Amino acid sequence: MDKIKGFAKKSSAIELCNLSFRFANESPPVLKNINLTLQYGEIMVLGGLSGEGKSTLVSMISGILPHMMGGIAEGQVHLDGQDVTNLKPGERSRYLGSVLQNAENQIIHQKVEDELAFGCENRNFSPEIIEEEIHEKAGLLHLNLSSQTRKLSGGEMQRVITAAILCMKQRILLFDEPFAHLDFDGMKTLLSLLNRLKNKGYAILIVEHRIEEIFDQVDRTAWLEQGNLEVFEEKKEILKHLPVFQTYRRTGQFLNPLIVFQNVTMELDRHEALNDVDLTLYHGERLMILGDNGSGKTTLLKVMGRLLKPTGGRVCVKGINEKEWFNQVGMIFQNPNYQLFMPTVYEEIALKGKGEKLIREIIEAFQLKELLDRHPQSLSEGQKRRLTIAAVMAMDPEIVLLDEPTVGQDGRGLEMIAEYLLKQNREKQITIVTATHDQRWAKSMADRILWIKDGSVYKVGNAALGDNFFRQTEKNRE
Amino acid sequence: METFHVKKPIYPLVSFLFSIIIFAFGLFLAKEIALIYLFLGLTLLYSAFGHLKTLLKLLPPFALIGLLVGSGVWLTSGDYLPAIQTFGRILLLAFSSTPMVGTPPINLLRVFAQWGFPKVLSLGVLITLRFIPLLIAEMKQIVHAMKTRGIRFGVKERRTLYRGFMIPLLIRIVGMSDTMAISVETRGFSVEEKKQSVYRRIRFSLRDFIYTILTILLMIGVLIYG
Amino acid sequence: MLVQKFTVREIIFIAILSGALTLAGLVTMPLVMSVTLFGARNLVSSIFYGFFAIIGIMKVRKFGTLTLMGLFHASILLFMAPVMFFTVFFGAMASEILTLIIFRSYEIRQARILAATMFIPFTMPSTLIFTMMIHGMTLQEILSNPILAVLFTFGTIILGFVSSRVGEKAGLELKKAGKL
Repeated sequence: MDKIKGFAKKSSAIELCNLSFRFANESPPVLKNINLTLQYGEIMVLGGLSGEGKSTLVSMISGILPHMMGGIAEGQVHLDGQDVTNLKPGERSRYLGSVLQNAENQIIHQKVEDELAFGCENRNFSPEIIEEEIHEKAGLLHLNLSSQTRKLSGGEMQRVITAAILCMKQRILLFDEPFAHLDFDGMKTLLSLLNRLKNKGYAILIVEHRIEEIFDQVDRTAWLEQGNLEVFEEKKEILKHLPVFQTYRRTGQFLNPLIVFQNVTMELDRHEALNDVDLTLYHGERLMILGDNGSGKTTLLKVMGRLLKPTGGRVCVKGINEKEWFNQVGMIFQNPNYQLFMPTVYEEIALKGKGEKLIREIIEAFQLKELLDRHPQSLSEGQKRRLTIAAVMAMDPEIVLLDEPTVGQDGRGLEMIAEYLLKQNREKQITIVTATHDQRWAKSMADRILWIKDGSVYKVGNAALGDNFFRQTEKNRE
Repeated sequence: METFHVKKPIYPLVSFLFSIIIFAFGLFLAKEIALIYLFLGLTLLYSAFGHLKTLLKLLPPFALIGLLVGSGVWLTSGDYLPAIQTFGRILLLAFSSTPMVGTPPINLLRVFAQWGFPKVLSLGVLITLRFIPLLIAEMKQIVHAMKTRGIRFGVKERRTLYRGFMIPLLIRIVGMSDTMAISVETRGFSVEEKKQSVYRRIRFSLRDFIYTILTILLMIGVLIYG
Repeated sequence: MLVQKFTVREIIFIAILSGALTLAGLVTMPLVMSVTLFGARNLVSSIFYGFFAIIGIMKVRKFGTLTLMGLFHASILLFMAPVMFFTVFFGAMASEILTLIIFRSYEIRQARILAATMFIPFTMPSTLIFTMMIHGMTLQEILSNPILAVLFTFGTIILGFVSSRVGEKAGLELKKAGKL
């Protein structure tokens, strides 16, 4: 049975020496001579724009590249003072725990207990040690070992995967965008846990977009751009790389109602996702739906977008031809992969595009010109999201519904999207509804805030309510 | 599927073996009145071993199918006896499957792992099971997404319909499998690794032995006295 | 090399694809209970199975891929109706063995299409036996209309071929996108 070794405190936890990577001989390098050191008892956050190499770097540290997914790598990776360059991911897992995104797609077992035990079994721990570990980590992450994994929320699933990694007893942890799907509460909980682990001597590297919200909780920062890594002496230097969101707030009344919710209730899986919601959406307004994970934001959007029919109450529509509903109401999903299926980027935009002029304008606005002949599925996630929004905007909709548009998106990409939408709102009076828990977006894209809690409307107010939302949530955590 | 699982399942290999044996035995008795005695005996046996609820959940859908098929046989043959026998055979499927349906799949896979079967095959089965509900949810999302892109369900748009559904589904399958593979490997799983422990070992107990003996005795009893 | 080791990534892809196959199978499963016409259920199944089978083989071009898909798919049936396990598993294995004998490698396009096409046709013998057992019919009774039986058999092969070609087309597009 495996003996649990003490970690070598004197050597660095992670040391990258002149690390470079390219996907194929002829392709340009994605990473160029990366050097990075992370010590035990430190948390470092790594930021960068979409498609600039963060995921590649993470994959190289964990061994996914080149050992699982191919590619040409140069340089060395050291974990806990050991040269692991030639070790596969399974072998590197002795030193490094990797917590990836999309926890739902990583869970294998039906019970939480079995999921936590999985990694320990792979490491050949004795049943007694497994028992001890899973109980300890389940307690740390507030998990019920006998719960069915199928019934867990997204946040709970992420906690299960995190606990499963922690059970494996590695002291070096790598988190790939752990805050992407978390609301403010979730973020604070996870950050608190990470700080506790750091104080116990863990080394933690976080790759993340939402840097402004976490950087004061970390020790060091670094930025990856065009394959080059810059590690900052002063952690706040990273803030210079983050684009500043333009704030555009309006005063005045919106007069013409478009969609009216009257006592709307929505039951999903024997649970009331929406409860007695009264709401009017006005022509030309920018409505922001704020709320914690599981509060009903996405359900509300889907009912508004007529993808779901309410189980109680009614939804009245004015001024929109119901037969042309999906041509006049554009909805953008959180995951762009659902909405992309044409063979080229151009065909994707042109599918329901209203005229060549508009299509060209949108291509320009979203900087997709260089990508027109590419297959949409070959793009990076950030590029796919821009494409999805572009394709929907090419329909020239009256209303745009966006579900968590900021997930996985860097600041510059968001800026581009926000700029275009704001322009459409100013010039064409399109109505924009966004469901989000992202402070950056909420600050710049709201005329009116709808704060939703447990499926009910908690408060409605102007943009200042958004500031209250984020402040209050932070206060509740303290 | 979890609603069918029992609190104390029978040893998985015994459940599997007797599923086949009871089915074969039942087919042998299909034209005899003894089949009813077999059903009664199995009902008592399953009650004693905590599988009655599983059986009662399985019986209605199988009974419905049996009624439909039996009615078809009656209409074509004009004789009610073959119809009843067909009904009986379909009910036999429910009775014979009960122990297996009541067993959480992880138990069977743990037994295989204990016996030295390649763990990667067990992993594959678990993943197939796990992803069935996920794929259903994915398909629903894709249908919603197609609507948002203005694709209508109709013969005229069948090419876009096919593209709009199958391409995203296959992309999602590839994406999900890559995510899962990375997660599994970074959690130490390896095809080559032989030394892997089993957290909860499944042991053949006295209860399983008694179940085996009683099942055999039941079959012998039905043969002799049926 | 005829027998090659599978990587974790390949096994998992095959497993998830088998999940999709199982869902497709659940649509046709009730037919096995109610229809006694030889080949009717297989005809309907071949619409989906050829499609997913060829995607699996295009991604994992190793002998054993189809058998593994059959194994994972059939294992789910173990927990629903254990007897059904053999129908699917042996069908997959038989199709793969035939392809192995004729072509020796999945690198040849025709090999991939043959394996995917013949997956469901090779389940017909065991489906026949299963139907005989459930309905208590003799072989002569089930094949009482030989013309229909022949038509359904050829129909199953043709539909299997068509669905594998459609799947191949989808697979080529995914390959172009760098996903396969």
